[in-house]
Amino acid sequence: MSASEKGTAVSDQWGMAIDVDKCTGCKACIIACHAENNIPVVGAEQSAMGRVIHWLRIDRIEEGSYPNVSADFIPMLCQQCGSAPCESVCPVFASTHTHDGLNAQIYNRCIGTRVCANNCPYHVRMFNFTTPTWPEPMNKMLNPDVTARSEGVMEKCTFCVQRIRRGNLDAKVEGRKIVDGEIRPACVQSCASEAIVFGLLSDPESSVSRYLEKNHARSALVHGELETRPHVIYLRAERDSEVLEPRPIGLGARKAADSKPVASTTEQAAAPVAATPTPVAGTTPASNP
Amino acid sequence: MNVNRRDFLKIGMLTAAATTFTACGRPVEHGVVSQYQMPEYALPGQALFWASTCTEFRSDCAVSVKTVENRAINVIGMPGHFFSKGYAGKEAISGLQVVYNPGRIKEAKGGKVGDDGELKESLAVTVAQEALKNEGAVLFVVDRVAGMAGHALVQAAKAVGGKIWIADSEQSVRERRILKAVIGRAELPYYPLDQHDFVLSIGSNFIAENYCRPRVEWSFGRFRRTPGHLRGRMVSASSRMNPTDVCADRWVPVAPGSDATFLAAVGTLVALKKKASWPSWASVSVTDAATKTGAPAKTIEQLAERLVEAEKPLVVGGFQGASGDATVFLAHTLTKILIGDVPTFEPDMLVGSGSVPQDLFLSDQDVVSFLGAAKVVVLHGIDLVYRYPWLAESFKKVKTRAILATSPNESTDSATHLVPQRFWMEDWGDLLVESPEGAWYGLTQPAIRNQVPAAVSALGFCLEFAKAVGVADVTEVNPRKALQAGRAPADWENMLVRGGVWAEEEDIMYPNRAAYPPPAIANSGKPPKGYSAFKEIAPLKVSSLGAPAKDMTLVLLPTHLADGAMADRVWLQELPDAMTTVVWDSWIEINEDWAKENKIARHDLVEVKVGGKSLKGSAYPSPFIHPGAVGIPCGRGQKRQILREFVDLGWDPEGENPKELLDGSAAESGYFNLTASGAQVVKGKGSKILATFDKRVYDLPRHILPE
Repeated sequence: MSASEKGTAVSDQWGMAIDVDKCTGCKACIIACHAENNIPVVGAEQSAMGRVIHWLRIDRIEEGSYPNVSADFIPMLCQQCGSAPCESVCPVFASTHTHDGLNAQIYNRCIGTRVCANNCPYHVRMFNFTTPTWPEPMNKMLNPDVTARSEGVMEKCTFCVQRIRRGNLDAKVEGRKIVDGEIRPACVQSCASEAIVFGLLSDPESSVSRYLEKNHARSALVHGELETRPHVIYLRAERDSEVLEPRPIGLGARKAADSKPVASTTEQAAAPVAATPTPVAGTTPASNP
Repeated sequence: MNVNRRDFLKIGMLTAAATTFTACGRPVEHGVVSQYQMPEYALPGQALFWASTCTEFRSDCAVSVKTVENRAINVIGMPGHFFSKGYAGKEAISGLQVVYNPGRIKEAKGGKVGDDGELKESLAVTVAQEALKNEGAVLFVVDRVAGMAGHALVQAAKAVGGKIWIADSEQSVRERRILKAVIGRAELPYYPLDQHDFVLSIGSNFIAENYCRPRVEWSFGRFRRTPGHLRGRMVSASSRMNPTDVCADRWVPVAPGSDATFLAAVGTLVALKKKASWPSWASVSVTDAATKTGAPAKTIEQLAERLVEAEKPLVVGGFQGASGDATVFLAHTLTKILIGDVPTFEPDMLVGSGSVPQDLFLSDQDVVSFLGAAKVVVLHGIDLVYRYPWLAESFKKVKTRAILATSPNESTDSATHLVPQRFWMEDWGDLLVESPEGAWYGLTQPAIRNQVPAAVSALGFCLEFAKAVGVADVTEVNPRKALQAGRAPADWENMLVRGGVWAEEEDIMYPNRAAYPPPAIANSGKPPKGYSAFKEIAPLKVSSLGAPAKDMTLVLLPTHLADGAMADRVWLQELPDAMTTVVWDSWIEINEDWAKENKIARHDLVEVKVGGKSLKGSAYPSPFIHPGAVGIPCGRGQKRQILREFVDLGWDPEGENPKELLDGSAAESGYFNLTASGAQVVKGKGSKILATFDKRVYDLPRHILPE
């Protein structure tokens, strides 16, 4: 099947930008993910054993000690690594890579060795140690678009691949390309502070690419030194340590800079920018120097 | 409404075409259909979206409930909504677990309820008759009064000489009365952070807990990143860091109970610079404040300077500390000095017309004596026994105790008349909001069939009750017909499709919206008439900074479970706490340096003693809390709400209810003290593992994000 018949180009690579400066730690993204992806509740005892399943978690990282302590909320999910450490160790190839940059977990191939989770430096792979249950009538809220996993199977964030595939299919049926913003994973859709931006990293005109371009100075890869080539790029919080020192602040300069009503960063990012080289498929725009 | 086969096929094809665009998170208004056509439109495997309004909190998010084959499987924000900006909070989404809760209340007690569709709220009439027999001794305990149900309730309360206690954990009535004193308007504060450049937050968790959550979170995102890249700045002060303090550029720890003193010192300086008047009881020197709060004097001076310099600053105060009234009062006063007014909005307009006597609403202190004399109590949305343990005995002695609830809680076992209530996803309702950007009317409509046949509509109950006690303008008790009355068919259909009447704006997060087909029905119609229940409410005079703390202070920590109302949602039970990452349990949070001195490590069992009462739990030494404070999370310790299916035998994670330690005393303002001084923390024997996410393999060190 040719690229055009598939509805996406072979070089399309999905990715995400997470702006730590905007994350409020509300965890709406986690609950949205649970609802969308049929993530089971393991219960109190299994949780105490460290077996809780969250495809997306919010790491609270602190710096300093009382009274000079600060903290950040950092959403952590499968980085959909271009060079994934989990893919090379699976003995049955249940962990594979798709043509559009996703790390896929094939549930019915998985035999539960957990070697992939052992190799994942981000600790984002979750194993079903027990049989997931949804006591009646809770099973009614399962999403039919997503497989419910069984005991002994590894699972992790898929970037809501069901939404991506549905979007691909719709675009193919209608004979058009995917429109930027058309496909949003559940976490992106629920993030009220718009801290998560999703789209095609391979498209320099996409909102996520422009957002990263505009905020390049703050961009960072978690465990970038491991050369995993993650498709999730973080934008560091710019905590102002001199917030109480005299300095110009104010809406006045904001108004002078842009006379339009306050708009999203992505809209601002859609304004013409200097030309940037087209990223090579499988790599990220903000790579390590 | 009857649909013949020919029309069904026509409409079915249109809907099928429309819904192909809606299954993966794209704007859904053209896939949203009227509930009227259900269930004929339930095409196998095809998602349908039902416009509705979430009423979990005052946020009133416009939402779209995604259903498949008449099963609700997701809740997403309504795209293009000018107020909620297309977002819904975790409370709205986790509501799915309430709808399908296996432990849901399935049977009524004390009377009959009608079958699905018949709506014979006989229990409403039964309770109304009890109220009429006991005029003047009727108490309604609710979390809010809003919309058509609020109008019916308020007018019914007047008719029987009753009183209303709004027992909301957001303390909205208290805040309204303070704003009435400061600016003359008894509305609620509105935090459009995107319109401000410098924010000071004192003892407040306003980003996570406020009256319009998704809207504030959205505006926080804009506050941080504006078109000109001028990042808004925020400083916060509290005795224990909360998620809002994490968002700040700098957190200033202050001694528990001294929030108001800190703010008073800042305000004294600001008023001096601005040549504005400042309350004499709040005139505090910097040196005095630095001594009492523990904050550096230079910090207080610099804060005052930055507030004066900022173009549009904002000061937000919270009720968290013992000096809550003073903190909130001074915060609003300071905002008024700095920008001339306090931004407010009114999310609780009543739909209808009428007047409300000033003394209809009771303060907390008034409730204590009134409850002792009451003959009829009606609880709606409140677990009184859990939230206010010191009122439990008085409540259980009331002759008629009518409770409307969806899930069992600590109060429902005590009900003489138990009314299973429909959840908002199954119910009809409305609300009317007046905001600075304009008014909007939200319609709650059923997205799925009623899962519990005996469950009744809350609006229907209120209407039938009001009619039974003789409220003249309530004649229709069927909620759908009541909401539809007086509307043109096209307007009603439009409201069903959209979920109300509201201004629409483009989804500017992704600017390629032109690619999507335009909505089939243009937004039209006008919000119904409404009136404020609180316009004439008495202002709250504040005249002191609060008493200084003695020994350690017990601080109640905010959690995902709110004030315990969300304990039946296992997703939220298993969701790690924002600051401690604890799941399924409560903890006793103490300062880590203090813990080290007293040889207390994480998981050690400790006992917290306050005024003759005590409770035990696992210690969590933390860098986020003042050494003079001991924090216990709210919302834990229920026995009835937690689903036993997820709690293994032998494991006892329910935690403790910290309110058991409070004595029910009231502050000067007449509202309950939700904190206590004179607490002691004693190390016990043994330990109990806390289920946490940090300090385990997930703990990625901070240097992982290089400078």
